[in-house]
Amino acid sequence: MNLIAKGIGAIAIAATVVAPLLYVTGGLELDTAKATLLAATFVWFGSCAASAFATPAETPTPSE
Amino acid sequence: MDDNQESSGGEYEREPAPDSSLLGPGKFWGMYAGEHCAGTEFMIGPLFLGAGASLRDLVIGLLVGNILAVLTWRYLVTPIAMSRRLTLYYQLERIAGGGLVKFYNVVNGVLFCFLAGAMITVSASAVGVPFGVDYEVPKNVFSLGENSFTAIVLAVGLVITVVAAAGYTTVARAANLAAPWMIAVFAAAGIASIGQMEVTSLSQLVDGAYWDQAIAFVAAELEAEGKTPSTFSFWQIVLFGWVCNGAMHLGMADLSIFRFARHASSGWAPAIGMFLGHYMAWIAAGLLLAAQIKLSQDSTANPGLLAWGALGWTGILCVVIAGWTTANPTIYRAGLAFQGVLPGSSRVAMTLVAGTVATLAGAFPALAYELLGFVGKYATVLGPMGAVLFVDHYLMKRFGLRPEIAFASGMQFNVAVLVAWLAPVAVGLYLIFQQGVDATYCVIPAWLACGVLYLVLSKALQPAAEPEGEAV
Repeated sequence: MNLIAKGIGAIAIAATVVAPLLYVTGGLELDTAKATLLAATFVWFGSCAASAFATPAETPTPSE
Repeated sequence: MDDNQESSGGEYEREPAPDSSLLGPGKFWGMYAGEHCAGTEFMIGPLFLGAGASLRDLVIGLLVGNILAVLTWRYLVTPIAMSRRLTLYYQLERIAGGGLVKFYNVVNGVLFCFLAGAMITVSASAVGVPFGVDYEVPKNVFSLGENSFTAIVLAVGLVITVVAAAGYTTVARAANLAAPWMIAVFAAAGIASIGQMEVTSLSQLVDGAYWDQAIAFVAAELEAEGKTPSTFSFWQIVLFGWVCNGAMHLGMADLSIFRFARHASSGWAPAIGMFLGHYMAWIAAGLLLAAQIKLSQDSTANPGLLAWGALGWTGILCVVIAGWTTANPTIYRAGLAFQGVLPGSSRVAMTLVAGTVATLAGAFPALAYELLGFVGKYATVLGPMGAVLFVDHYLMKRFGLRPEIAFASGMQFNVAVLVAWLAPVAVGLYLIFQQGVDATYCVIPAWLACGVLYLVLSKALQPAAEPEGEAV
């Protein structure tokens, strides 16, 4: 779960940079690029939250 | 140096950090990556353009300046931090005396408040965009903006202050999570601005005509107002890049951080903050203004509107989060500095005082517009104290003098430190305010003068035979 969340987060960061690059090269309209950035933002923070929730569950508790 | 430790004001405040607390380089790289992508980067980049800095000078000058800053961290701060493993404040107390450190704390706290105030202003500029409230800069530095903008500043300042007073552990975690995203958004801002200016080839990008046109527009505006267009030379840029965090490296504030370094290589970690936050982000933010000028012939450096124009809601969120996550620890540190002056006071109360001062400073929009000058003055005032630490650490014994004299003799006010610090600072401030010298030119001379004066005054004032104090 943690690994998946981190992977999705990495895709969101990549999308944040790629969307404006596509706009520069004519592949996207500016408004579409902005919408992509906003979606990537939500995905990033969502993946951070998922990762934070997943970590305690997946981290083995050392025996006392 | 974990969050809890930071939020408790730091453990081992009056003792060397033990081996068990030492951290590997990775922790430092992570911390510096987030620390230097602040909301104020959205302000500084456009101010470079407004000040007339050419793109070529900016690209090369900031590269050189940031390299110098990283070298200062690595070779000035890290060796002393690892040798003594003490906080700046305790190390200073052992040299200058408790009374003088309290005075230094007041100065430090007030300057922190003004810096946090600029961050609050920047955040408010973004919060105002959805409400149609513009960040407009009055001609007079100490004039308030529109009532609606002042109300937003007060609301933003209140939230930041209350959160800082509650301890900034949660904010520090949020800042760490947001850091990679903020860095990507800064990059996106620069890329989108290039697209908005219809720069479609590498040769156009390198040529930089879009930047020159923006500077020409600003110059024409100033001439129309009967003012002389400003210039920002290559060496000003180099020095600005170097001394922007002068209080942290030349002033040795980051001794408190690097005392936890296990390896000297941790001293390279500020490079990530410098080259992402103080290089890529500044240039990207400058491009935002260049694009705004091309698109709407508006040269106002309104961070919120600039980010909105290129990035939409993501830009607004980034300005708010970047301002919030950096204003919070700044207010928190200012609170700690004030608490150091009044040891019986509660940290919460002092943080609320610091937040109130910062919010009031943020209500004057022109102060944030003076950020380029403020950063230099900040380093001119706080930077030289680092020279005292440097001389005390490396040179005192070589000149037959007793290091850490306040600790050895129990003095509260080391006159040699006081005069060595204040004399160059007074001269520097006179040159800045009365002679119009750019503040960045004063930092290094003040640092060197402070070091030499401290050595000379110690030679003159130190008693001939001092008992050996307890070594740390």
